[in-house]
Amino acid sequence: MNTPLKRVGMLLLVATIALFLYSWLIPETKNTPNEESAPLAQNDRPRQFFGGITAQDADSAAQSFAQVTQDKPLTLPTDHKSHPDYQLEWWYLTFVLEDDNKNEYGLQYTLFRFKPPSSSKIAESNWANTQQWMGHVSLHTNTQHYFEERFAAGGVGNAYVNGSPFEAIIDDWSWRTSATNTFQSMFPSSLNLSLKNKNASGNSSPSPDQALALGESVSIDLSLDTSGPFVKQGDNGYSRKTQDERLRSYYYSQPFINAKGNLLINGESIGVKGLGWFDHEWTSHLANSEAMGWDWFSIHLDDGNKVMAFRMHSALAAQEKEKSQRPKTYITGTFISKEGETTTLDNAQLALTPTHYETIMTRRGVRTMPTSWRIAIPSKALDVTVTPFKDHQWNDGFMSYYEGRITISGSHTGRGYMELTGY
Amino acid sequence: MKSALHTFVLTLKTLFAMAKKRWLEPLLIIAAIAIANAGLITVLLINEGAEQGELLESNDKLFTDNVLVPINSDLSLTKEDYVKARLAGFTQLAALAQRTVRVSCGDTSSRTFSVNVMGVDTQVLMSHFASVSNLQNGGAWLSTEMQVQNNNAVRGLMHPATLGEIACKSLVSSDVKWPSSINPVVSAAVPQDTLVIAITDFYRHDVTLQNTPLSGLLSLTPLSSQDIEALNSITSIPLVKPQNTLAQETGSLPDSFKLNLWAMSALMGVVALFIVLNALNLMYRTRLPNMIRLRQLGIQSYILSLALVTELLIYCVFGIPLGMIAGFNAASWLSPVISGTFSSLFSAVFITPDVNLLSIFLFALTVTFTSLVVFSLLPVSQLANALSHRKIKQESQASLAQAIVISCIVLLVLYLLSHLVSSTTLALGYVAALLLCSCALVLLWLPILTTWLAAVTPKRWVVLFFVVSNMQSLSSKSRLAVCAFFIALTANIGMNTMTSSFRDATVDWLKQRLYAPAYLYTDMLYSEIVLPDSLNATPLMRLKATLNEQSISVSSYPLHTEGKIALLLDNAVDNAWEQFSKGQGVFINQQLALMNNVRIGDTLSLSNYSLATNRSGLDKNITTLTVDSDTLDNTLFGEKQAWRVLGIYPDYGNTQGQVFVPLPRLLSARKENSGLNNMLFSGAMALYPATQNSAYPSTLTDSAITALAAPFGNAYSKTHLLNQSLKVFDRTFLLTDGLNITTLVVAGIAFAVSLTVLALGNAPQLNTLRALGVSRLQVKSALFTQYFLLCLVTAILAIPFGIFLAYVFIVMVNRYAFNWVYPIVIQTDVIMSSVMLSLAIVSLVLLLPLGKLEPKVDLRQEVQL
Repeated sequence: MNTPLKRVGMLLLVATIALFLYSWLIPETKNTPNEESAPLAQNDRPRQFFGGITAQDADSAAQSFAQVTQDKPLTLPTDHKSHPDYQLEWWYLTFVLEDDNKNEYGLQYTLFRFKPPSSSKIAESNWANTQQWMGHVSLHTNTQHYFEERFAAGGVGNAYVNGSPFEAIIDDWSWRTSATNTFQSMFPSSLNLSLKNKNASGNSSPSPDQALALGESVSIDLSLDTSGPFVKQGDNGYSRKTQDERLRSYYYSQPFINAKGNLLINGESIGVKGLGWFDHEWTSHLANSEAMGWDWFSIHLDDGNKVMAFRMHSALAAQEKEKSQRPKTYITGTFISKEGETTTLDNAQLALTPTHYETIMTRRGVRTMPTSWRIAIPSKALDVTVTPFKDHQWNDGFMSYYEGRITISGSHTGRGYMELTGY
Repeated sequence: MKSALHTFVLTLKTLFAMAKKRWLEPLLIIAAIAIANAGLITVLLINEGAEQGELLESNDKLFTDNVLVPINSDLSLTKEDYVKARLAGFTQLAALAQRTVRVSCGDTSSRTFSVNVMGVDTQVLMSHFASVSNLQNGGAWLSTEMQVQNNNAVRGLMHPATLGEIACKSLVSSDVKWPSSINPVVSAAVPQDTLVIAITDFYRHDVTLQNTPLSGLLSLTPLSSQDIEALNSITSIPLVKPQNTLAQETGSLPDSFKLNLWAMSALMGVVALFIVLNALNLMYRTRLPNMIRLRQLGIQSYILSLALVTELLIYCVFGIPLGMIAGFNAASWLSPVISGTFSSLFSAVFITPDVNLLSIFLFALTVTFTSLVVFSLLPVSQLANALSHRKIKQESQASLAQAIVISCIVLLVLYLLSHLVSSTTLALGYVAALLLCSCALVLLWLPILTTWLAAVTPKRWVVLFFVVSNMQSLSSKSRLAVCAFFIALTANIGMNTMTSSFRDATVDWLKQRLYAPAYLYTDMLYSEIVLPDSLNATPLMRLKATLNEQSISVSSYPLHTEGKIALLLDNAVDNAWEQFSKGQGVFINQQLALMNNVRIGDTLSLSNYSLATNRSGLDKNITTLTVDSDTLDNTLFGEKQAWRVLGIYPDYGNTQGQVFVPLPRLLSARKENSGLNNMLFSGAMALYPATQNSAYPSTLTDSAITALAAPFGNAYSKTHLLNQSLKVFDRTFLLTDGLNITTLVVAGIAFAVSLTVLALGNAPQLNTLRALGVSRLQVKSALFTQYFLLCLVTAILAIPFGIFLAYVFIVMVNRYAFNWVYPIVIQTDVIMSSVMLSLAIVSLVLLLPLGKLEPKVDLRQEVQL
């Protein structure tokens, strides 16, 4: 009579125990989307990148810092210097290098500067100013990834950027005007970076595949020169990141860098040469809750032309609250001829389409991001495929993001760098 | 094959039908598995936590061991020096500044505390902690450093013990130069009585680099002497590593603690196995008639065994998660206590263990199931045999004479085995042998004692006679539970006796050894310490040497009367003190004697003397000076020092060998030797009031002495040091006490529950008693009394074995593991507390609904085994 009831009871009991065990034994599970077809909205929603620094929205951030405005255009070489009144700034060098045996290398050196919102209630420190510096060096060989992250407080003296003579320093990582550079401008200059695992208890970098074993060292010495002019991105250096310009920055590049020098990897000296790309960007309109991350490409085409392509993910404050809301994307770019003439591209002229997703196990969990793309600029008869130089080009630091060398094929061939943030 | 599977399934169904009918036994098995696993997992997690804490030891010593300071306290390290070092690639260095600040609780400002505020360049820590994936201690900063501090409070790290002592959530600094509110965060990585904050917060308000220069540089990784040399070529002033006197005093308590933990886990494992097997045995007994029927129906014995094992596996799958949950909760409940206890003074961090739940579950399942299957093979095979033929069972009980002979043989074997013990492993093996032998003896003597009791009980007292007789019957049916309970109680008595003996020995030794009213610990040079005339001081001088390739320390010992009285010797030659005073010999500690098998009258041949000190303020060239024997005799000792061993003294807590030589041999009165005195000075100094100078009072209070010596370093009164030492001791063994009691509780409850289940079989007798007019309460009391009596008899047997176990722990385990022994002190209150606790646990049976038993028993099902 009551057997079915008992069975139901037993079933419920078993189900409860199973559920309980499941919740105990598997506390954190990540959804792994279908790599091939996962669109962005179904994928992990882009996480805030610089937006994680403050909980401010764009409007309140704007009140605390100097503003990016079109009526105050950037000027060169004056603006190579640091702009401490703006919330966020970076000097970004990426290189596609080759040795004599045609082995390829990807190198990145970035110096970030942050300014927290001023708080009049806190007495000023007699040790440092309120600026915060962060340096990243990442070197990719065919098989290895060496990455190190450093922090420094501003005003102490071990991290700074000078306009003239140009210097971008954090500890013993330096990019400075060459001694022979009589104009004391940015180029010719020398870049000296070293990574060394001095840590007896851990790794120089967090992920095992980015680790330098104890006593291993990497040292990089490059001479940099240029074969073309600086390029002001967007509208004469005023770069829109969203349609309504709520997210925007000052942004210029030097895409015509020729690099030559030596890599010393664990005692083995390797002569390298190749191309470099420099970006300098400063803003008070990106480190807020609306900026969800971006996809950025710097491409050296083999015909000498260059392409910068950019896709911003943004969420309006109201929309952000709805977790299922797909972030808005805004596409912009610049086609730079080999002579340095620029064509600013908008959504209608530039197509950026993810074609393949890569899932990477990072220190903070599993992340899935689009690492293969189709980039098309119909007006330039350009339709290329972007593929990563190798898997897992993830910088696993305090601010983690994808930064890696890419290969270009299709209507044009070339090399370049890809940055994916907010994943 | 298919039919075998079918038979297996049917058999399994039958077994479950039996389990459903008599649900108490399977429930008991599940409960036993759960209790056993809860205990095992608690101990496992605590051990895991301690192990993981040890891995972080390098971080724990971060703020104390890896610091570089200016060679002379008059010199100041500048910010420019720091920047130069960083730009030159010394990226592991972080600037460090310190000052003492008085703070009070944010809510109540009445209580104030003095804390050492340490400002560290947290930017460097951010890189470090981010890179080594160790966010345990630095994570607090990582997540907040770059965010705005909305409430303007300074964020700082404090040791759990310090924060526990202060007991407030927020602090307010009353320092005029640094008026700040502080939000402390617990971190075992920082030293006690210290608040570690960001250097940017340290240099706020009126604290500037001019009035408070940098105190040194913190190195996140060990620096070699070449590194320090290279660094000194960059900085404007030379930097050295200061000697950390406190770090040397930690001794080997963590080792002893760890051994204790592992002994506890082994014990818990044994007890757990016994209680589960006991439950299993009980269930199989009650199932025997049905098993016989199954065999008669033609079911093969292997299918029957397989079905029984499968049923057991299912119980394991249900019991283990329950045990795990209880274990995790118990460990997390214990963990804050442990964290505070373990990290406070051991220089080892206990952290909440980072464990994989699935792997722990699989581990527990494998261990539990495998051991159960292996150990239950015997009862299962007995069962299988019992199915085919039934022996006419005779109650075999050894006679008194047999029991005495067997006992004598067992004790003789134990005595002989004790002579073979020559290492820690063998000592632990001996402990296991002792427990096994004592179990065998208990099983031998328990029936004899209960039979004797039954014989002497007058039959006219029906209930009492029933109680005693039934206890006799119970004792034969619950052997495994008795064993588990006996082992737990014996170990409890043994460990408690050992611990209390150790504590007594340590207290006596400390009281005697701390002969002066106060002590000074300083980083200053000996020549720089000019104490007021009202104080006399006896410095501790020290040099290093090698004996049989082991590093030992040669320390000074004062020749005054207080020193003579304070020296407690285990063993000595005649006129030892006179000979020692004349330099005709030395005293050595017990560790040195036991490690190297040195005896009284032997002569030590020491070599590689070195003045290995890296105290600040010393000339860099002579800090690692190695001296030969001649220099030693001519310069240090003044005349030839004889190395004959005159006496052996106890030295608990020290892992190293130590030799005492008379103080005048290591403290030169000649001015030209002041450099040597500085190098030999250990940094510790005994202080007394001066009695010679009439201008000052002849007696000073302890606090007055410490106040007078305070400008020269950290001065502590004897009482303070004694209390601190005992606090450490008690905190350490508080945890093992807890585990000890847990084991006893587990064994006790299992014992009581299994007795209760056995009592179910007594329903006919209970019915008869009721029919005779015995009230329900009387029946309940009668049942309780028999459990109580059985427990009491077991406890009485456990006392002598517990004391013997304590003796084995002291003279064998401690002897080989730590190279020290101490007198065993048998304290009645310690033993009685163990016994009383076990009786109290068994009394819990009263809570079970025994009186409500329904005596409806199908007598056809009852088979006498």
